[in-house]
Amino acid sequence: MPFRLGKLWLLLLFPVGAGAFIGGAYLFFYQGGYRAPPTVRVQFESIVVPTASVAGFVEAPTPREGMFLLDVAHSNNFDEAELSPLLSRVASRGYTIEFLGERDHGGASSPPGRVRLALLEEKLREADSFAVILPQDAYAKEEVDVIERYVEKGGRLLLIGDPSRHDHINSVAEEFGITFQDGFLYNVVEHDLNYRNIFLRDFLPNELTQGLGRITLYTAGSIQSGVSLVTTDGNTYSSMIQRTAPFAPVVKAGDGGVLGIFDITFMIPPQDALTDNARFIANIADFLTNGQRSFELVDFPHFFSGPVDILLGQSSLFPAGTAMKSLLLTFETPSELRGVEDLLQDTVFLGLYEDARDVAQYLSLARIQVGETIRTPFTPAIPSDSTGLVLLHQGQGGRQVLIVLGDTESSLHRLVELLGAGGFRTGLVSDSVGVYRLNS
Amino acid sequence: MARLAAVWQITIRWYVIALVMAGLGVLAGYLLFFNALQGRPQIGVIDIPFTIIDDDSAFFIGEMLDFVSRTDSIKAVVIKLNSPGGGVAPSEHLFLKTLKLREKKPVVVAADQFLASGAYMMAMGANEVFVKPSSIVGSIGVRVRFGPPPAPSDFEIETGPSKLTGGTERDLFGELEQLKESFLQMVLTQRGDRLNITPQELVEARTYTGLASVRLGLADAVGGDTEAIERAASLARISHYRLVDVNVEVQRLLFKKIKRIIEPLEPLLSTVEGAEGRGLDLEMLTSLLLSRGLGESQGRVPPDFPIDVNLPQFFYLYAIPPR
Repeated sequence: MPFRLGKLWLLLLFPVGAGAFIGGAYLFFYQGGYRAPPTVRVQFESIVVPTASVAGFVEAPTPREGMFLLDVAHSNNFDEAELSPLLSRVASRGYTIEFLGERDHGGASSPPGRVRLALLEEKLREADSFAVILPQDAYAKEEVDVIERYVEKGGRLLLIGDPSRHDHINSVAEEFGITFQDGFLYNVVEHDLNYRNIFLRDFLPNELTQGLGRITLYTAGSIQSGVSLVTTDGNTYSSMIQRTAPFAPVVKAGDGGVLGIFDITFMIPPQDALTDNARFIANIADFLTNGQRSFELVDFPHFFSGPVDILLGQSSLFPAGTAMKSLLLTFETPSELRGVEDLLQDTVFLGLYEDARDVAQYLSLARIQVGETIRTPFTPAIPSDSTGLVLLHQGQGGRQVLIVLGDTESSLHRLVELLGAGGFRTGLVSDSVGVYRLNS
Repeated sequence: MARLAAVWQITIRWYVIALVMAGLGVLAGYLLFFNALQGRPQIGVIDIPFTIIDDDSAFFIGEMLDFVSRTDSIKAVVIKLNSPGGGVAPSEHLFLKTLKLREKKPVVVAADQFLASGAYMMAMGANEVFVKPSSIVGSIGVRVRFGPPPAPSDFEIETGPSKLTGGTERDLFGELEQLKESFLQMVLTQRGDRLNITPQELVEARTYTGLASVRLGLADAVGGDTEAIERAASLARISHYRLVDVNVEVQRLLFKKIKRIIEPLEPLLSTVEGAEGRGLDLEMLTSLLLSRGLGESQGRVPPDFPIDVNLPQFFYLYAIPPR
């Protein structure tokens, strides 16, 4: 027994062997345990998104008279409801709103080119302000020329593009030296809910930026050239233009008569009420309604801004007077036959050449002589037989005096007919004078 | 008898006993180590071929993450990932699961062609990210698809103005911005000092090549699966490891589960006509139930989620809309 007990220590070799294997295996396979890096939790609950606030804005606009024309003849890519904040403000200033072309249900259609040109010419004679918004059809050169002449006469023009919609706004804009550039503006540092909704605070002092502290544009683009009315800050970039210089999404051009805005969405509810957007839209409405456009004879009878007095050189011309009254009525211009001239009222004078002495002051100002021959600064002496003469005099305070003379009653009547049919435009010798051969 | 006595004499010599005892000990140690203790370390390899992260694929990936998490012998995990992201909730689900796994075991992502948007978000849960030089990495941002709000109907009445839409379009923009900010915070907190790019640049949602992503700190190193596995082993401090194909293991497990459910029903199933005109069998059902969403065609972008429910649809997804 002592012998066996003495060997019992050998049993310890079993756990030693097992331990040695396990230890060896651990050393062989494992060089230590995994030390997990400290987990930094995301503080989701502290994520707060600041938003632009609604700025209260109430206005009491001064009523004016005029017509705001909106182009829908070039497959324009907007819906009328989107413009309601602007249109309602224009309407609240007393302007009537008319559309150039027909609107389909929910969109704009595009008439054939020649029809469109004629329509544009006709409508712009009457319009005090005109808006070209997101035209999907490019403007033809002839159409642009018509718009250019309209702007030269003091007509206000609003051009709106939008980077998120397809348009050919540059077909008009480039004629006025401005270009709506590719790409959109964004600011990832400070914005209203989305990087494309940029705040603008840098304003050039102007009637359009009056009272503005901060406006927000929702996917705006940059307009090159022109007078920058609103510019971006240093954190605003373009998706296409590799520079950090300020971008201008709102500019003026055409001697101040053209306003270019590269965003339509800022005036779509509810964006129209955020920051100072409502005031900005009101300023745009002011721009569209406080222009002083001049008219030419070609614009007959749209240069009359209110009721018109009709004066007759002699009582035998009464039929011509009533014909003129009817003609004006077709253009929704009320008129009355009067016996005495009111120097504050728009006036049409109908007479024969022998009555020219009654309007001599106007004729002499235009350096027109009427006798055996008709002499104007623009024509050689023309024998007065079977002729007619039309003169538009624009007086102070915007008073318009239209003088219509003929060598006989029938010539005068024919001339009134020409005015109604638009045929008088072919006989114009200047912006305000027309001389006509009236062979029956 | 004499011979037996001689053998006994030798056997009971102390050194023989010692040898035997030690041998038995080693054997016991072997059995203990490989069966009851840690055993040979394993690295679980999860393979996610081109996949849009949607509910289906996220379920299966989640199952794989759960498997490696609860399998003690798996000491490290490598996720071979090729995805441009997908839905917001599935992507966030995978980020959170990966983050949780990282607390137990090292997780290394080995990016293939795409590691963008929601997939990049998932990778933020890992310890380290390996990319290939040409991998497309980044696109930290959210997108939303929505339609016009439905007009009030006389035939479907709801109890509040936002019941049908969830809110106004501006509310939607707010939610989108919150999700973007949340994604940004995930990247900033998980990459931390490793980033060489400003938050402003990050939220531009650009994609970068693998090379650029390493330079900018969006990824840790250029390397393939092998480098990722070696790095995972290094983080876990293991050597002489064995690789485990987690996809196969999980499919096997799920197959067993499904088999337990379906086998009793098999006689009934054979009477139901399957897609190819033959009776449904276990194999067909399993193929329908397993691996859904993984290895989808790239043509399926954006994911064909149902469009009649859960509008609007938010995505952490880098994809160009169909033209």
